[in-house]
Amino acid sequence: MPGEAVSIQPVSFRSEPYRRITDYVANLFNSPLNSAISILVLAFLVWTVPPLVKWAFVDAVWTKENAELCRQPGAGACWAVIEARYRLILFGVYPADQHWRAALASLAIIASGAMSCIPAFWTVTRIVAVWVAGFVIYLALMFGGFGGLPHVSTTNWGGLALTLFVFASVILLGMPLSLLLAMARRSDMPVISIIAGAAIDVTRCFPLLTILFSAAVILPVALPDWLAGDKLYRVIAAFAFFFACYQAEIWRGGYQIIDKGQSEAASALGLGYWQREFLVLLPQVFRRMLPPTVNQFVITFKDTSLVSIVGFFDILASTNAAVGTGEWTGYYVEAYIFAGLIYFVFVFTLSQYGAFLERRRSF
Amino acid sequence: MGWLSRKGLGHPRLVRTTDHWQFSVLRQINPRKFRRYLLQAFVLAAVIVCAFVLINTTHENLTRQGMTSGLDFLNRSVGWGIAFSIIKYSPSDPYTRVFLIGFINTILVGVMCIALSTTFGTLIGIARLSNNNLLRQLAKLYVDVFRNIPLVLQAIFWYSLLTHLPPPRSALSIFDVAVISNRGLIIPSLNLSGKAASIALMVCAASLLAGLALRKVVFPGGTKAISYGLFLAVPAVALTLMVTLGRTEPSLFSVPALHGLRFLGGITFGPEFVALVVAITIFSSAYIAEIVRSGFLAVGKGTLEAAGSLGLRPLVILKKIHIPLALRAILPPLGNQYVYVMKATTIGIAIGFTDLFMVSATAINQTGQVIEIMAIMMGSFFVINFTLTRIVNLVNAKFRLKGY
Repeated sequence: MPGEAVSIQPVSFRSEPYRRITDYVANLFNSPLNSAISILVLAFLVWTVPPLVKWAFVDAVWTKENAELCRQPGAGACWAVIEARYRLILFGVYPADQHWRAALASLAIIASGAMSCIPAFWTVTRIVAVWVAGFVIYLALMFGGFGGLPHVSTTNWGGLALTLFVFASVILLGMPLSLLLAMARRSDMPVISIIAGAAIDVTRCFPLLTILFSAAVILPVALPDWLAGDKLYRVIAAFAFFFACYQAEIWRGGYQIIDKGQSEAASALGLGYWQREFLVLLPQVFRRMLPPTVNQFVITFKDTSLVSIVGFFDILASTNAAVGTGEWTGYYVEAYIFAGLIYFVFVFTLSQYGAFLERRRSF
Repeated sequence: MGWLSRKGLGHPRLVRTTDHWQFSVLRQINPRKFRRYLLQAFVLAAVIVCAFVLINTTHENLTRQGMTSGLDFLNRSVGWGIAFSIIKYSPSDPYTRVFLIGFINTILVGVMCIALSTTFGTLIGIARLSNNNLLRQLAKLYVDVFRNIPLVLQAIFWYSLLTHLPPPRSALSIFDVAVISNRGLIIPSLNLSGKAASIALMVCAASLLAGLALRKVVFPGGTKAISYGLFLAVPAVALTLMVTLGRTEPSLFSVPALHGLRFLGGITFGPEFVALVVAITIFSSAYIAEIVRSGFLAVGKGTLEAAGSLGLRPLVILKKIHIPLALRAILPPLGNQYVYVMKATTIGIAIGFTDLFMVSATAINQTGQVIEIMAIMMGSFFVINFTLTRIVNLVNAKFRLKGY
């Protein structure tokens, strides 16, 4: 209407929150079926929640000075085990007096990860700079061997520091590789497209664990000695290849949604293959495929726990060790809840970020 | 100079009268095409060289260690025990038997987890869509918690919990039917001879196929009653016959009962098996819940409103429109989830469950026949996943909207 003020409301993506508690309760009993369901759910909650709260908070033992209270009958959760063993869980067998290095190194990787979530860093130079800086700081701190810091070899890395390292390296190696594989697969050169397609499809057929196992145990037999390298690097390389095969299929899906006219128009303007790919197609593919890519990151972060099975000392293995021997053997539930919380914080944050990107498709 | 004329540069007078370039063989080659062929040849050569180096090094390393390649080791006796097997096994059996057990165990766990997590996940997914705030939020809590913790951690957690349960003497009873202790879960079983059970299973399968054939070939369309009758009647008769004739004990059910320090009767599932099935089911249910939920949300609101304005009742809309359309969105990701579950069984090695992967890893450790065993294992996984994908694709094709 001319002359009428148009107010633009921000679009809310969440369902309307319940303002008052009475609305909430009214919803629970607004039909016979709903009432029945509510009563059942409430009964379930009354049955489970109070004992859980009693165990986890009321009867819990919080400090290791009171550790003997844990052994008394009727004692709740023994969180003292966390206080006693959190350093082992977070940093593994890294030398105890050098733990500050592992903590700072982990922070460097986390900071790089947090920065890459900000759209202002989504240019090639900035993202590369952020991650090169993060990795240089991480490796310098972890390896040491300069300025009075004693050298620590990769066999002593562990806990959260190792998990973060494996995750970040897999993503960083895997992303360029996945682009290469995706471009090779949709290439019009038959030999290249068939080889890339076969590599992707065959790899996707196998469980990740078998691939990590092959890299850890079998590759040393198959590779010449000068190429075999450290077990950690072999496993990371195999993991990265596995990640790249899945990520390549995400890129391929992205290419498929983009209208063919885009590529044809670029050709008509006289752009060559690389210009077409990097200036026209890939920017669109990246934007459209960002949410599934973040989802793939989430899966990869959870899968890093598999490296413990092929003999690395990541969070999972260090948690096992924390309650495996000695005075804290009985308190595995508390320790696993702690490890689960660490994973949860990272994975949940990442997946919420992915959901956020999905909601604001119009960036 | 020939190139001047080719590029259309310069004055025609500059062109030599006899242009050798015109008759050159090289002129026949398109430089763009040539580059493509060169690149492809290079990649192919690189792949071949890499494969050759890998095979050659492996062969050298193995001969240096005094290994003989080949499948002879399969007939050697194994010499180590296996914790869980549904077929008979002794350590003196050959390696073929061990691989068979691993294969069966992987499929058993996979199929059980697929069946359980589909049921449970669908329920949670529907709860996620409920109008009831409490139920919906509880379902969301479930999905958020169990989807965001690694499967291996969950498996180890359940395994530790199970192995710290009281011993059989003070086992926990579940409604007086099953018992659970640190030796695992014992459920009642049927006292039937193996032969009777397998014959009944075969009769059931045959009647299913016959029913399908009847509907498709003999009476195409309109005679659902006959085929459904056959679907149901023949297995029912077979099961009754099997139960009456194949009974091995006076009572039909074998219920676990405490004898001294351990339980007799029923079927025992060890803590490894139970922990693995519980962990994968809980983890995968959270994913399937999200698949089901987004499948139902994917059905356009307009479609459902149109159905409502045509006067269809809510239950009819649900049955004839909402569920069929949602199924089309659900099936493809559900199929991927099934393949994932099959692969996820490999984490059984973390808690000592003897699946295909653990059997292979132990066999490699014992015999050193790296290449052969890896080939057997990878080949088996390929077969399992390939078959599963084919089945999913077939079902998918069956449910696809006609004409799309």
